[in-house]
Amino acid sequence: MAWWRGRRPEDFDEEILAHVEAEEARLRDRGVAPDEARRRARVAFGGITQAREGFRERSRWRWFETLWHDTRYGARLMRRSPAFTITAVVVLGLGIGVNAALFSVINGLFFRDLHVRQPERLVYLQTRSPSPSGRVLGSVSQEDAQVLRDAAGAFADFTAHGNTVANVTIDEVTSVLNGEFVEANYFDLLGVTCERGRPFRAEDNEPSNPDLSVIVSHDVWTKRLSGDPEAIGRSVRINGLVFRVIGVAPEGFQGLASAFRPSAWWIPNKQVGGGRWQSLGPIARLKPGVDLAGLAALVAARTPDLVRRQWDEMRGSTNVWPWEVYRHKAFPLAKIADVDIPSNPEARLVSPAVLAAVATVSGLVLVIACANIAGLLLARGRSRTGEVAVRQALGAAGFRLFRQIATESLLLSASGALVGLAVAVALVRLFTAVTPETLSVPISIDARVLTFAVLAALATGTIVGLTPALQATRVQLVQALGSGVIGSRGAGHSLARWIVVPQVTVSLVLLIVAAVHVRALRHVEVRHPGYRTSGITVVEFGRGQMDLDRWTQGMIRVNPSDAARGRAFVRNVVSATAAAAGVDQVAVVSRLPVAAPLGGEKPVVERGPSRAAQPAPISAVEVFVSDGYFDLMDMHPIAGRTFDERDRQYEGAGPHVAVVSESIARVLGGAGLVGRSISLPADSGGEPHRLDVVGIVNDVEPVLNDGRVHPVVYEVLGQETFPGGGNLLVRGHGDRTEQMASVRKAILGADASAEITRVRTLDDIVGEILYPRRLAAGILAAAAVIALALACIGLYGIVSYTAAERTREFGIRATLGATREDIVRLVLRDGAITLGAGISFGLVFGAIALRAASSVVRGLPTFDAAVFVVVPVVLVLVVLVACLSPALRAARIDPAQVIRGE
Amino acid sequence: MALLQGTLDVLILKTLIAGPRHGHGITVAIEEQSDSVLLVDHGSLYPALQRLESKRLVTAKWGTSENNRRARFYSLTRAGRKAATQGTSDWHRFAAAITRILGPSGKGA
Repeated sequence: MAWWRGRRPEDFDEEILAHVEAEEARLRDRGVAPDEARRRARVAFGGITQAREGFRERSRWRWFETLWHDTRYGARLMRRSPAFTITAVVVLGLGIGVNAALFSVINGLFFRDLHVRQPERLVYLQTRSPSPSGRVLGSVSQEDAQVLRDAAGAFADFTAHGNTVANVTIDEVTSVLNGEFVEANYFDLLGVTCERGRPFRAEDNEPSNPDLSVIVSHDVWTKRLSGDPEAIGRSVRINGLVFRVIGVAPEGFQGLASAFRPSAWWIPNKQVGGGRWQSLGPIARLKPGVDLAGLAALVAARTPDLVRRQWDEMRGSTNVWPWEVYRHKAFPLAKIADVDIPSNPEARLVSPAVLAAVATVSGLVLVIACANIAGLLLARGRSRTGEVAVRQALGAAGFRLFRQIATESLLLSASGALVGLAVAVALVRLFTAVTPETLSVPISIDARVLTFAVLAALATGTIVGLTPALQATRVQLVQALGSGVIGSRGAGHSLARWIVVPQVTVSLVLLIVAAVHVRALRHVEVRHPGYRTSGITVVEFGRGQMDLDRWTQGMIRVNPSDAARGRAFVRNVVSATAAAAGVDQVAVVSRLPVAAPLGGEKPVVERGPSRAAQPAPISAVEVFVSDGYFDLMDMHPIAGRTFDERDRQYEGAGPHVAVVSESIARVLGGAGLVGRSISLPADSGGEPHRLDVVGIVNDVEPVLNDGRVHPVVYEVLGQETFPGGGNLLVRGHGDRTEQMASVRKAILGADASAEITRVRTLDDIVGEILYPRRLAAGILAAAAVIALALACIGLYGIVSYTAAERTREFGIRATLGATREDIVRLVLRDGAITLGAGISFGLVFGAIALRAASSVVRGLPTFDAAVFVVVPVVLVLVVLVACLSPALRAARIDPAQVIRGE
Repeated sequence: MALLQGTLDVLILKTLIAGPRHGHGITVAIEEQSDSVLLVDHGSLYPALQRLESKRLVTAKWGTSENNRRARFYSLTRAGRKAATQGTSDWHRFAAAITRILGPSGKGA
């Protein structure tokens, strides 16, 4: 205890002795005989031991001694009643652990600092498509970005970005990294200063500039460039193209692409293609004095004219919707924080409302855990009345008893915090384990989470410990001792009930809301999207250069001489793969149907005289496929045929053919559309693109239900476009690893410039897309189950303790002829009354909570009869089972023993 | 004669103005200066010293007493000196007020 600034008792003893001796000397000086002087000095001083005690009682030293004593006493008590201790520690541990884990997940994923200047001034812009679906798109075309700039340049500064993934090769080591293509002013507008080098300048984004430049993340710089101080100017290969490093982004800045996919690199958007249909996420920074409403008003007021001009221009060259439809095109705005992950619809699926629900749930779990502990301590405080009374009788001060009990509850909560931490670590591990490998999720238990756990434990200990402690110190000494220590009905009993009723209520509300959420989230997954997802491996491949189709959401169109090479490349890759061992079917597709298209919908009209009769406008995305795609995906023609060898002759020049989805045919003349032709606007802005419809196939949906059908015009890969690569789909047999090894070898052997970006199964990709939703559903379900468990433990505890408290009463009843069944019924009735009250309140509040939640969360029903019936029944069953064991224990009471114990 | 609550602290501080003293020395000084009217009980003295020490009004150091014994000597800190002056003038005002009510040279206090 040397660290404590305080006097040791020995030091004080010495001072007292010095005092006595000094007095003795003084008396001797006055002529008192030495023996008499000593005696009188001692008498004058009084009890030396008493003085010593007084010192100890007053010194701060004592404070620690008491604390140590209380702690030891508490620990001994905890050991003596292991059932109570384990229950309390587990309950608290679960409460704190679940909270800490949810806290770190939510914190890491959704409240990450964007590391940009004044994020509250940043606005994310979207478009509402003029198409009949009228859906809001997270990204807009280059052209629309320009419309916005023209409309609102006075109120805000604009930039834009898009996200992608590519092979990044540094020092001959290649890995797949997420990145963004951005406009030159991206870093300046966000207020992100490069830690080294410089941000992009306008000339970096000139398509004619032969020097390709890249800015890399701090992580890439430290890990891949080994923190090279001379990193600026080094070259990095991205999908085979050589980029020069011009800057290193500051630590922590991970771009604005997605919390799940931190960006590792940034390149200028126009150097890598990016025509009129390139989809971009526009970001605006409000100018001083302008607010979001002001900008929205300006955009709403000025875009119609610009949209009109856009339409006039398009009408000259392409078929577009009639103006009556097109004028509905709009540009809604949102604060960047509300969009939480711009331009990435899959990540945006966890809405702030769901997050709020998750946060509330985690908070409620802790509340329930606290209520549980309070109930347990209270019941225990009640049963310890005897002990407290005895200690009071032996002279313990009220404050000392209070401190003793408070120390015990703090001891409990400290143990709970330790268990909680272990639970949190386990949960975070679990979370990381279920996260798809391809998603990078930076979750760890950090210092803030630790602080949180400790604070939660302390708060719980103090608040929860105080009530029973105060209650215990108010014990009426004489009454408690006189009543044979155990009273049957008291304040503790009804107080305990008042803790359990709200606890059951809160648990039930939680269970209801969580169950409805989970059910609603389940509906989000599309079970039958119109194609198969299992047993298919997806190989993303490219022709030794940027994976251009990912930039443009379609194949890039280039001059015909290069197109011939591109076609040959893809044909070689496909035939080599088909010949590889274990491969049954091979196809190439430009865009996978599993994710909703990010934009690029084009108006589709029928060509020829019947055009005016088109009942409604329709828009579709173009998807380029090799023949064999429909077979491989188990899609079936509804009319006409799908593509086959015949269609390869159309490559290059001549009339082009198309297969359209059912929903297009429904609008454009049904099965009769086969044999007729349709038009789509050409990307170049020239003559509309004519396609002869040879067949109609079933509609497809993305795996994540967005409530819409996505019409598709399928075109033959290479007939008009130059394939730079795409998604190679493989179905095969035998061992998958061997199969993939042979596919990889076949692709790389087919063409010297072939590169493979990623190899995943289609199911993995589906998993990634559904992950945020599944995560939210999983968290809610887990929290609800824990809430249920806590409610059971709470009720179990209360019923056990009240039963134990009534031992004497039961004994007497048994002597007077009560049967075991009577006693079981008595105990269960106790639990049932509490449970009934809790459930009634829970149903009412659950309905209110659900109504409130459904007004915020889209797709959540306002009422779910099944949940309101099933959940209370489950709760009743589980709780009754939990209460059965204390009831049976009470029934086994031996009356003789109880009476003798009196 | 019993001391009024709080006055003992002032008396201790006052006796220490002259210089450091040990506990016994303080008792003797108060006794002598009050013509043996005030007898300081150790049961009040040491708690008071402990209190003053924790308030940082006095500091203590082991030294050698007049009869060549080791003894704990208390001395005033800067704050203690100020408190002594303040306490003295407070006491005078208090005593004057009491005197005005009880009248001069009444018996008892």
